[in-house]
Amino acid sequence: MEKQSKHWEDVRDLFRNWREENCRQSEDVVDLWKEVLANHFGKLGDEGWLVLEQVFIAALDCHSMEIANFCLSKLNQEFPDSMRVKRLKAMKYEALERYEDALDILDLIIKKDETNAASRKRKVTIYKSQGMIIEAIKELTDYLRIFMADQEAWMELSDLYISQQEWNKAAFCVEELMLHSPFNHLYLQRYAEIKYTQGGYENLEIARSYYAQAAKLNPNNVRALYGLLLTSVHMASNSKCPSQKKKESIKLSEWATNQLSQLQSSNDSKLFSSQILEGMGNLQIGNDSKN
Amino acid sequence: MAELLLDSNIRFWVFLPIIMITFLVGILRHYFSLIIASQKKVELLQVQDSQALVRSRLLRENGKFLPRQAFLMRRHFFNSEDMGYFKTQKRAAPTTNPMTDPNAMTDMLKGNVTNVLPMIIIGGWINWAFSGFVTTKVPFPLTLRFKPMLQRGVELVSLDASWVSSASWYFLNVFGLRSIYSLVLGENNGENMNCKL
Repeated sequence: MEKQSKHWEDVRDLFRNWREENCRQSEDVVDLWKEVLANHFGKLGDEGWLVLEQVFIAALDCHSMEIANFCLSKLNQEFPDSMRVKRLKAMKYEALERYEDALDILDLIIKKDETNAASRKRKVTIYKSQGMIIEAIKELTDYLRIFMADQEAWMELSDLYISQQEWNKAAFCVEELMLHSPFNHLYLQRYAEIKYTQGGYENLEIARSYYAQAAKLNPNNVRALYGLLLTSVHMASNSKCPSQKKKESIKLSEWATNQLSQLQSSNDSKLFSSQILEGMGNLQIGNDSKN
Repeated sequence: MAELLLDSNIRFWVFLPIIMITFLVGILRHYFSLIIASQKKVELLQVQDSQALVRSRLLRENGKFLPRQAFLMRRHFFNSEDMGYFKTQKRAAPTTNPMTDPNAMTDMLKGNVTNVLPMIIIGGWINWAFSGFVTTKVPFPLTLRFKPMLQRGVELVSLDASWVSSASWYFLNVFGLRSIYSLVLGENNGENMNCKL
């Protein structure tokens, strides 16, 4: 238990790092708070309010309601009319599953300040945590009609659509993300996966090119390499494929296999056991008349 | 033109104090303008428009990374004649006349008060306190037309135009130190003379 010997200043700096990097180490935050910072709260000054908010959210994650209530009451004392504190209160109701109360508070905030983006996003999470995905999607699309440049919201919407298996709409959302960061190989790979799941020759073509781009940007992206291998093998064995593209596809699949075997040999061998490779082979969609 | 030798007391008790006074008053003005600055309220439509502009800019810059159909779909969303976002959204023309817009009026008033009033007060005090002698000499020769500007309060026909009196030195400082404020206080400080006088 070396945490007890940690100086409160180190803990404070650690919390600041986690705040800036958006890490969600809720249990660590709550433990460190209980052991170290709760006794030194007065010394934190203005940063203390940010720390309180961080600890509050972590406490909600771990369902430590006393700590959460303590933080909230302190914040309420200091900032009695603050929209931000009200939003935290709505989060507490959400954690206690009092969804109606939470929705009421959020509606109040939105009525007072229409441009408050964070409250609208909290409404979406309330619907999502109740499992009402359709309402969550509707709320999020209304939000995005106004705030169309919000990357986080597009990401969330694409996840919701994938869970509902609406591939076209999910692809639309990921396209928005790609507009924001076209060189992020993870977005490219996600887009290619959606296209590959949709199936059909044109989608396979698109999927292959995006997998190739993702693999080009990061040759260590194993999912992209596997995706490249599978799509090019599919395209090559498809009847619609012209012969020149067939040759291309075969070359690409060979390159992907080479990369994969290189990575396999350089990495820990248990990561790429032969069973996994066999399993991947079994996952290939059969060549039906649809293609 | 004779070479004038100035009392070295002028250096300590006039030249440097005027610089210090101008600088410190400038910093005070900056903080004062921060305190009385009104909170800018944003409208929902403004936010929506700015986000739409960001999205369309991204489409313009990074559109080539999307499949053709996706790009065309988005371009149609923004630009189509009958239902494009940029074609159908009407915005009221902003009132350019500051006289009728109350918010702009109060901002202009605050700007004037913060900037001009201290300048007048301190300029007058300096003129009263440090009158009747020259303070410094600019290191380059000037024509005679600069004499009334640089030698307020010292009317001597034979005096070289390079010699500067204390009131003029004060005004030179006010305008000259503004670039130093942007170093010290960062951009967008209270010294920005954006007021439409």
